Parts: sequence; structure tokens; C-alpha cells
Amino acid sequence: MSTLSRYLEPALVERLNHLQLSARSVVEGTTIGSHKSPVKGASIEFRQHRTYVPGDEPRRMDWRVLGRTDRHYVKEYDEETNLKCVLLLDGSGSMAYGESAKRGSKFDYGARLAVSLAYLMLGQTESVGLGVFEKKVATWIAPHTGTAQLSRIVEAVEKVAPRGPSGLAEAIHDAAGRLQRRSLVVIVSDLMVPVAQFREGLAHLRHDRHEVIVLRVLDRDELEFPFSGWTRLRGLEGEKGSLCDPSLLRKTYKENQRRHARELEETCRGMKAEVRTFVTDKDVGDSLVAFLHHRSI
Amino acid sequence: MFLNATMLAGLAGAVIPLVLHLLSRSRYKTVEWGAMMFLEGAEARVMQAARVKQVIILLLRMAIVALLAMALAQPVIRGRWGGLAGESRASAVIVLDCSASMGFDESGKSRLDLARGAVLTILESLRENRVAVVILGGGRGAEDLATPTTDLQQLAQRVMAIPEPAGRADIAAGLTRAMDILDRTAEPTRELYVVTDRQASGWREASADPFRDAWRSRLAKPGTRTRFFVVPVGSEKAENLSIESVELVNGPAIKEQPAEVEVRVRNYGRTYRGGVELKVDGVSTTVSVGPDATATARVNLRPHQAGSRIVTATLPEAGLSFDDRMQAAIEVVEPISVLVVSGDERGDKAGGLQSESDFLRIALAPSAEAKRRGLNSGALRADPCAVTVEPYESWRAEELKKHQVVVLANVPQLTQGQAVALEQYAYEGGGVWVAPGNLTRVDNLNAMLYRDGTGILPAKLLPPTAEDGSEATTIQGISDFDHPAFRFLKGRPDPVPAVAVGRYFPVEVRNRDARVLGQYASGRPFVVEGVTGRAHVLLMTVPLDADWGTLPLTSFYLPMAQSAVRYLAAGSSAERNLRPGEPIVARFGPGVDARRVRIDSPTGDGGAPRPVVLPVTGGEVRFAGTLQPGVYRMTVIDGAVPDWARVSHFVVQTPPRESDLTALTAAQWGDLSRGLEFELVDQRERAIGPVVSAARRGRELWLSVIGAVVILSLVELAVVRRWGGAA
Repeated sequence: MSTLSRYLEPALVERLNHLQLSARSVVEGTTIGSHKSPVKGASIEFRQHRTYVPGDEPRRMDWRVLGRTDRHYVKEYDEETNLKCVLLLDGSGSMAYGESAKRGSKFDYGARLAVSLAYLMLGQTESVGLGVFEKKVATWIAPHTGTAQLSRIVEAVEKVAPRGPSGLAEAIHDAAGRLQRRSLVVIVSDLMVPVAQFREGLAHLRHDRHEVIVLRVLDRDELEFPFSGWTRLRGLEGEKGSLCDPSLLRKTYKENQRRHARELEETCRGMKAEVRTFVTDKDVGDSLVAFLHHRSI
Repeated sequence: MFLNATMLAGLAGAVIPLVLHLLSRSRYKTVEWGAMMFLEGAEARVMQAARVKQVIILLLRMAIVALLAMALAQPVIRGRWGGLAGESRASAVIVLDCSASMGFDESGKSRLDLARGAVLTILESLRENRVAVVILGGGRGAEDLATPTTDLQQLAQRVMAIPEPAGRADIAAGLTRAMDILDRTAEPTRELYVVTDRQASGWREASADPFRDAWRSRLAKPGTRTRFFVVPVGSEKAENLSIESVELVNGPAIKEQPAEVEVRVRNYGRTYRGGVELKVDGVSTTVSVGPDATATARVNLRPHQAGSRIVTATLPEAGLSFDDRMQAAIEVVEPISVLVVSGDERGDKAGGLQSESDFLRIALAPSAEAKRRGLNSGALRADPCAVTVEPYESWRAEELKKHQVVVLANVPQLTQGQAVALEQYAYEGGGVWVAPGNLTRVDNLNAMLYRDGTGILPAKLLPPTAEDGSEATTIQGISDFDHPAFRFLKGRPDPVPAVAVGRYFPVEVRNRDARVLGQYASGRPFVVEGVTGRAHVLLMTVPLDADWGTLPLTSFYLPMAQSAVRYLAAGSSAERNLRPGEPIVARFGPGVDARRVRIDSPTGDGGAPRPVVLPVTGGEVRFAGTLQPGVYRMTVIDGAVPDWARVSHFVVQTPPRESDLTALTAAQWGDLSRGLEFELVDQRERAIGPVVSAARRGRELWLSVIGAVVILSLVELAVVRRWGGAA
């Protein structure tokens, strides 16, 4: 199996070819792409029709097609701005959970999500970049277009071994500093950080008027805490381990976990960031397609 | 204390949960966990709380195992809270009911048989303790069993040898006697058992509040511990037909005269019993009795010989057998000798009935009178009385003793000597019938016989009512139809005789020892009875002839005269039919010179008792040893008495209370057990042996401990479920 196919299965590719990922707010791209540009008045050549998505300017609508087919299409011109997207992939120690399991680690899952999204957007001639972070951004690939970019992304992901504590806020600050223009930032992480830390990072991005999508990746065990019998829990990010009877902690754990998730969602909602949780026991393709469909509505 | 202490080794198993806990802790698995943030920092308290919960659950599991081991070791509590102090020696008394009701047949076995079995079981559990047995009812010899003994085998043999049940049960008396025995023993530990049937009547005295209060005080005697059990035997069956009484309707019986015997039959059951055959001395009749009701039947006997005799009434066996047969002693006398002292012996009486004596002869000795008047030339039929008429002027005091009854019929006056003789005669048991008439001098009779209330006359005569008939009246009613003189009227459709009374003697009844037996419509007495000691006197306020009324012309006259004479003649006789403990009192009337008597008691436990010889004092003899039901025979062994009067029978009858088999209800048992503080051991629900043994060993707690195990297990499940949360 090729490295790419490990992250991007052919069946998923086929499905992604019929989908797209668009920014819902105004972005600034370096080239003319499918997203609304704040820059107007440039002459353009018709390139292709694409399906209308909310946010597209009505003047771009092809009314004749609408009248003939009753379907909404916009005309795409070569001079339309393209989307600049940065994928921030969490490579901290906690993302390694599930490595020994058949379903694979959260990092593998998150990487597949990131690569899939990169493929999708590169196919849309968008610029896609990658940032892999632990305590801070450890790997940075500046946004570019082209198929070679995908290879670069895959190569970079392939080299990552999740470890160390998570520094989500620092990583976001770092990434934000590298982004000169407004971009679509997709954070792929388990968000195992205090909500305040996440809020701080998100606020920076939103302050810089970036659009943020948060894809939270969790293992089923982290939702259910199913362990029984005496268990020594050792932190993947260097936390102090403890011997306990998980059955006695389960209730409290789940209450804390749910509260944390609720606060994350409230934070994202307040910051107008889209958040979606992916559980690693679900097929990544199905989950991603479902997410993209949902987003396109 | 533990009955099975070896099982306490199971307490070691209480460490198993701890060992498992430690083993599982040592065999933990390691999980590289990414979500430690939900368990760290502020959640440290959770970890601490979790450790506390672990300890609590561990302790619960250890406690469950430990309690289980304790339950298997059969813990018992002793002392005041439990039973007796272990297997130490105790004194025990068994109160065994041997009353008549214990003879009830329970499918081939009597209740006494069942009770014996229960007693043997109790004796088996008592082993080396001192035991006594108190008998309720039963016969003689029971006192011997009341001495505590350690020879329980012999005691058991004697219990088995107790004869047929008899007498009545008085549980209260038995308990008192038992406690007296226990109080005389040295052991502080005491056991008391009552083995009885379920009959309610035996507990009547014990149910009373005064007894209960006194009983509880005795049970709580300082320095003692008494365990009290009641073991009922038999069923609640109460169907029983019994003969309640056998009585001569109009005693005494007279030779060759019809003697009516009335038998009362009682049905204690709930079913109607119709056409039950009743035999009285071989004469059959039938009787029907409704549920919980009484019926009477009358049978006519005709005794051919004078003397004391026993009449036996029998029923077919139903339920209890002892009361299906009842005996009664009756006295059969020769025709009653009556002396009529007549004040009106008129000259020419050929063919006519004129004076009182004429009417009395006809009433009391009709056959002889008919022959005397030439109205019957054939063989004489027996008369109930032999009548002798003497004019008042010529009768002599010494003649009184020859007769059983003296009638003063229209006697004008009496001399002092005659009055004294009459009083003497009456006090010696002779019957006196005073019937004044038109010749009677009221003031003389009052002076001689009333004597301001101190004489034998029960009322003061007043001058007769007006001659013109202005105060005529009729007989309104009889006060007491059960009085022997008027019992013949009982059951008749028109018991009040239709007698017209033109004139009569008003009387003033004295305050003491006098009773009005009948009255006129005017409210004045018709007949007054006076009973002073042995003296029985009847005073009629209307003449016995037809001068002032139609009395002798009615159908009432003959039976009234005969009944009155029988009653007066029987007045000197003793009560022949008694209850247990009621003394025999025999009186010998005038003309009978009895000096010593021998009394033979009925055969009871231990064989025939020794006869008792008693002197006759003042014409009377008393004997109090009548506890044993049965026939007592009194024989005059010294003195001059007619042959027919030499032997007298007395019957002591079993109290009817024992025939009522009505059982105690569950509520009544509960009330009794609370009031008297006993434990009821019903053999239909549990065996006596284990209950008694357990009581001696102490109160077992294993069931309570098992209950605690179950509760703790449920608590452990709930706690684990709650603190663990759903996976």
C-alpha cells in the first residue's frame, strides 16, 4: 500500500470528488479561487460552473441555467479568489491513544482527516498548508496549491510520532502569526486541554478574522471509560500515573468529560467556529462525508 | 454462644475479599491513557473518594462473609433475652389435663392419648431434671405425681397408666398448684408445661384479670427464670350431644305409680340432630335438638319396688362419650302415708262429697276410696297415698310420726300440745299442709301456729272475705312452674287453673322463709310455702272442699293435691344428685331411727376406696368426699329403718361444662398467651421437642444473621452499582 493510500483510500477519493469544502466567510486568497474575494472589479474568463453554496454572490448565479434546469449554479472565472487553508494537526502524546488497538490511534485518524481535506481542497485549486504541533508548531508546510503539496503533506504527517504535552494555544498563536491573510484554519485535535487555553487560541484566530473549523478526534474509550479491574492509568503526555478501580471513577470521569465537551462547544459557538467530533471507531470516510454534507446544507 | 462453633472457622473466610482485593491490585493492567485531564488536578478528590469507596465496599464484602460464617455457627442468645441458662438443671412441672373432655375421640385416639404422647416428648427433653406432673380433673392418685422426681421413666409409666379422663379442668387451679410446687424447689431455672385440649371452658378462671395479674407476679419472682409452654392437643371439633340432666319430675316416686323422668339433652354442635334415640332404663324415646340448643324428653317409668334406685339415660355415642350416659338417683317410696286432721267430719256422707277429707281421699287414694264407698268391687289398684282421716277432736300427737304428711283440713282450733307436736313433727322433717275452712278460728291458728312469725305457719291468717261473695276472685297464676308442687302444670297449654273462689282467707306473709307460690286475681296469695330448716309447710288460703269455691271440682285439684303431698313427703329427703365436691346430706324423717351409716364411694383411680362410716346426728348425716363422679351408696348399718329405706343412692355427676367442647379461637389463644406469658406450641405447626430444646438452649439467632447477610448483600450490590456507574 502506498503511503498516500494509507491516508486516502480510493473509495474515499471517489466520494470526495463530488464534494467540496468552502469557506463560509470572506477570505483573502493569493489567487483567484472559488471563494468570495473582497477585491472586486477584475475582468475574468469563464472557467466552469459549480454548484451554488450560501455565501456566493447572487450576481455570480447563472440565471439561464437556473431557468432551464431549475438548479443553482455559479459561474467560476479564473480570476476568482482561491481559498487559503491551514490544517493544524495535533501531534501531542494524547493523540497516540488507540495505537495498539485495531482501529488505530487518534493521530492516524486525524491525519487521515487532514490528508482527505487537503486532497479535497487542493482539488478545488485551493492553497493548503499543514501545521503539526505538540507544545508548539513542530512541522510547518506553508499553504500552496498543486498535487505536489499533497505529497508534501503526506510526507510530513508520515514522519510524526505523537508525543509530549499538548500546547494548543501556543500552536495556534504560532500558526496565526504565520498566516498573513485571512484563511480557513482547520484544527484537527482531541482538544485535551483546558477550555480556557483553547478559548485563548481560538480568540486569536477569530481576532485575525480567520474562519475556524474544529475537528475533534476522540477514541470511544475516552467517551465511555470502559475499564474494569485494577488499572494503572499512565498519562500519554507525561502525567503521573495512578492505580485505581476504574469502576469507582467512571461516573465522575464521564461527568467531567461531558462538561468539558459542552464548554468547548459553547466556546466554539460563541466564537463562530464550527466544531465537529469524530470518534475513531467510525469510518473516517463516512464521518468526513457526513460532515461535508452537513456543512454544505 | 454458638451451637456449632466449628463453623466459626469460616470467619477466616472474611479475609478472602481482602485477599482478592490485594491480588487484583497486584494484577493490574496498565493503560496508556490520553484523557488524564479528567482525573487529575481538581479530580484528585475523586481519587481520594474512590479509595474510601473501595474500603467501604471491601468492608461490606468482608462483613458478609463473616456473618455467613456466624450464621452457620448457629448463634444463640441466652439469659433474660433468650432462653434458659444452657443445659443447667431445672425444675419442671407438667400440668396434664385429664378432664372428661380429653376423652373425645380423635380418629381412633382420645385426646388424652395424644396428651400422653406430648408429655412423653417433654419428659424426653427434660432428662436429668426434676419433674412433677399435676393432673387436672381425672381420678384419685394424681397427688402422687405432683412430687418432683428425677426418675422420669417411672413418671412416664405412671402417666401412661392414668385411667379414663373424668371430672372438669380448671387450668387456673392447675397453674397455681404447679407454681406452688416450683416455688418449693431450689433451682432458679424453672419450666412449666400445660398439656390440654383446645376447650375454652377450662381457661375461664385463668382468663380473669385478677388471676392474670397474680400469675405474672409469680412468674416474675426475683431470682428465678420460668419458661412457660402450653401444648394443645386434638382438634377444634366441638360436635357433641350430651345428656345434661336426668330428673324425676314429681318426686319422690311412688311404688306402682307412674314416675315421669325428664331428660334434658344438649346439642353443642352446629348441626341439627333429629330423632336421636334416648333410652331411660330401657324405655326408648326419641329427641330432636337444634344446633347449640337444648331439648327435653319425658319418659314414664313405673317402679315396682320401694327404695333407692338408679335411673340411667343413654344416648348413642356422639363426640364425647362420658356425657352420653347419665345416672340419677331417685327415691321410690311406699304410698305416702297422709294423716288428714279434719275439722268437718259431717254426719251423713253416704254417696256424697262434702267435707275436705272426702275430696282429699278421692284425690290422694282414689282406688281405696272407691272401694270404701262401694263403687269398685274388683282388685284395688295402687294408690299414691294411704290416707287416714282423724277428726280434729280426737287426733293424738303420737300418731303424727306414723305419717309422712299431715293435712289440717278446716281444723277449728288447736291446743297448745297439738301445736307443739305439729311443730316438732315439722322440724323433724314431716310435711304439714294447712288448709283452713269455714270452721277455722283464725285467731287460734295464728296464736298456735303463726306465733307472730316465729311458728311454722308462713303467714298470718286474716278474717275471711265477705260471705256475700263480693270479694270473689279466681286463681290468677302460679309463681314458679318449676316448684315440685306445680311442676305438673309445666308445658300445659292452659297452666292457670280455672277455679272460682267465692271466699278466701287473706294473709300477711312473714318476711323470712316464706314464699307465695300462687295468687288470686285480687293479688292475694293463694298458696304460701314456708321452709324453716327441715320444716316444709304449705298454707292454702281457700278450703279444700267446695264450700267457698270450685277448687275440688276442677281437674286441677287431684294433681295439685298429689303433687303437694309428694312435695311435702320429699321435703325430708336428701338431694340425691350432686356436683363434684357438693356434700351428701341425708336426712331421716320421723319414724326412721337411723344411728350410723356406711358410705361406699365409686371406684376411681387406685381401685375401690375404703368405705366410710359416719354417725347420724339430729337425723342428719353429711359426707363431703364427693370429688369423684359416680354413684355413692349409703347404707344404714345401725338403727331401725324400713328395708326399703335402708340403702340410699347418691349420684355425683360430671359437670356439664366439660361437655362444651367449644375451642379457643386463635385470637383467644393470642390473648391468653400474652396475658399469662406463655409460648403456644401447636403440634400441628411445629414439633414440641425442638421448641423445648431450643428454649433450653437459648434463642437462636441464625435467621436474623442470615437476614443481615441478605441485607448487606443488597447494600453491596446497590453501592457498587451506584458508585461504579454504567460502563
